[in-house]
Amino acid sequence: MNGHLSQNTLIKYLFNLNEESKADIAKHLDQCPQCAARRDQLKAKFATLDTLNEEIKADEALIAKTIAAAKAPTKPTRNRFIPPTWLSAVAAILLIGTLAITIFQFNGPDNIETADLTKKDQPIAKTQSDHKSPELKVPGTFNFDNPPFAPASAIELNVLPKKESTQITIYNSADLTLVREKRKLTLKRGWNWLQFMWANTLIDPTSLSLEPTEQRDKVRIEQLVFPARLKDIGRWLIASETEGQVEFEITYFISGVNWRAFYMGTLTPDEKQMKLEGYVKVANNSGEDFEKTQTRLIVGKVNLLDRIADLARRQHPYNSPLREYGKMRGWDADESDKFDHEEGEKLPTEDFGTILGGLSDVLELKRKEVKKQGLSEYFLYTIEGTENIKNKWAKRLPSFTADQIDVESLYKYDENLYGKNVIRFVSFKNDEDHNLGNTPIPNGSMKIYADTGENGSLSFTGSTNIKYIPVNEKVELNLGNARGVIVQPKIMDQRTRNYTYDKNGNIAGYEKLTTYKLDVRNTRRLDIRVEIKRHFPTKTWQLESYQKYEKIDADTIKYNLNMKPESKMVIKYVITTYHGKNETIYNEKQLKARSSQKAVTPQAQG
Amino acid sequence: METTDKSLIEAHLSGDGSAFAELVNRYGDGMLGYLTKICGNRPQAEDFFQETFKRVHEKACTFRGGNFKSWLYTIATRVAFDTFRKQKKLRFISLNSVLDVNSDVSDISAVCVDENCPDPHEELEKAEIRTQVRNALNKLPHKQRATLVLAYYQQLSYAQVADVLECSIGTVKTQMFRALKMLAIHLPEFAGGVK
Repeated sequence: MNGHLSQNTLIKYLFNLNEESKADIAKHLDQCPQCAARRDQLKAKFATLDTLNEEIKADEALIAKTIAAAKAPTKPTRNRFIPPTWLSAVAAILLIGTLAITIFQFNGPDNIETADLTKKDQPIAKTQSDHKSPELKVPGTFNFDNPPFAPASAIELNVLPKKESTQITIYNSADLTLVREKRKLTLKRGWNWLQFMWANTLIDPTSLSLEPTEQRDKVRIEQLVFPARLKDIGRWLIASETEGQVEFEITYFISGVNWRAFYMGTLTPDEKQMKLEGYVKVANNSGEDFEKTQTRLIVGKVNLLDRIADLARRQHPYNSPLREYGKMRGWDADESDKFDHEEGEKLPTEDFGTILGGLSDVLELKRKEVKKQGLSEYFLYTIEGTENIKNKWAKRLPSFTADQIDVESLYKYDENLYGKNVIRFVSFKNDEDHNLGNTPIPNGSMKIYADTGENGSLSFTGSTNIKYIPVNEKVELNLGNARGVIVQPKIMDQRTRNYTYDKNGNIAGYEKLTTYKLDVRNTRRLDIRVEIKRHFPTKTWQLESYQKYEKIDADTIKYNLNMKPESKMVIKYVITTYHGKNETIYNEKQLKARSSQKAVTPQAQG
Repeated sequence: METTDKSLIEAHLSGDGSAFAELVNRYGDGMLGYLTKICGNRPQAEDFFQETFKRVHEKACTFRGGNFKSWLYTIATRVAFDTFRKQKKLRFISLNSVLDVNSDVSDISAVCVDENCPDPHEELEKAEIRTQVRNALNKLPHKQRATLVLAYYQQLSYAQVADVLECSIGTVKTQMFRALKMLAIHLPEFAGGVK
């Protein structure tokens, strides 16, 4: 062998791929150290293949699964069938014959009506009655006793036509909205199936209800079924003794629609009156578009048994009854699933009853909403006109405007509540005298502006959140710190007197006299009212004050000051407080004074 | 005395449920190793494993004697190749590709954290080499890979490989040579001894 061995030759040699020249190559390798070194190098390289030569164990679970899978019955395979040529001819004859019979059978007056009515149908509203029922062909003798189990095909379904009108009632506190839609359905005499779909919406399928608004004596809603395997679909079975368009009302609960109230108050330059504009922002995240919709808002808290959003996301509107049944019977999940997927599955009517019974509290609220005059804790707030609120959109709608509302500006100083700040309040009453009082005012955020009187420009005065204001109730709006009004309390003098001593000569009590001076300044060019509250550290006190005050409680007094524009007032008072034994002595004196007063009063009356 | 494969097949055909289980147990480990190396993906290998034995269960009547192991590997190879052919149109990429084959060896980080590991550095190096070898194997076309796995790892003779792959010995040798040639390029150089 001349020259060195190639890599290919070495590979063939190492893996016995060329038996014929093996002896020659072995001989060469014995003589050529270079080729032997390359062989060893190659051998070492291929030896790395052994790193994957670990034993891979098929675990018991896999073996058991494999045995089970192998023993499981297989689905029958479909045999490919190539029809012989003569069969085509036979099929053609049969087809022609069937068509001829069908044309002959359908040549009656009733069937001409069917065709006419189908023409009248809207494009998306297909009507179909049960062609299989022979009674249908004879007017007046339709048998309503045996409702069909399920529509034979999708063609037999009425798909919901366009909404005629919609009304939504938003129960904000419970993330619940009642939707009432009016739609005109084209019905055939006999059984009609109406399909309702709620995919990608937050509609609660357990709340679905359908009622005819006209010809109630001729149209009956028999049942609502939720077919197996079809998600987010409900089918109503309607028995109709009439033909043509009938208006229906569909009601259901939906989640994801909420509203917030906003208010804008504009004070007049003298700040004695205010214009109040109310807005409602309705946000729609329900997955459903609302067009030409009347919007009604419920003010008040609603108690719900279930969260509507959770109900809407359920695969089975009432959970799978067969799954539950399966659990009761101890079936495994797969087994109960088999039953769960039966086509045309109907829920037992008692289930509807139970669940609707559970929802009766909610439905009760619907009836409550008409009670507007204090009989209900809820109040219905209707926004004028109709609106289009598409899914994922929010819309701010004007709710009311009230002008010339008499307001009172009040400045409060209360160290316990507001520290050293003077807080401005605007108060008004929700009644007819204040051009309000038609409805309670829902809670929301309010911004107050002041009209500066100069070219109609406004200045922002403050904002606050208001709580629900019932009719005839007064509201005080906290507008925050007032910079134009200053209250500065100062201690002018403090001393003690009238010490009492115990047996050992130690001080057991004393009286403390503190002299206060309150500087009150109104830098504004308006008449204002200031309310100053003072709190004392004890309930036993005596006050000397030239300014009239009002006692609020045992340790609080209040000064009400009416101040002229850009004026200053000084209030001085001396507060005497009793401490230790003096407090007891003072209380005893007070008690005696009261009892002697009581004793004198009847005599005086006598 | 160990029952022969043929007698087990006969017992299975006559309705003995345990015979089939015995066959699965007997060839389970080897078969799973073969399929794992063929497809480079443990979950898929397990699917092929089940499908192979399902076919054995169904087609046991077509076994006409001879070497059961070859017959079994033929079925397994067909199962794998059928799937590979379908996957050519729509390729699935495993999200766990790093951990798929042998999670214990391919996960380098797992080597590092093993407290009982005598020499973490050596283990890490081995793990790296395994990954490179696996990558080199995965570069081979399916038929070459099957030939190599059957001949090298399953230690079948070229004649048996030809039997399994239903081709001539010459074809097997050609496939083997091509596979080795490619591996010579892609396999890592390894200075130390390989256990």
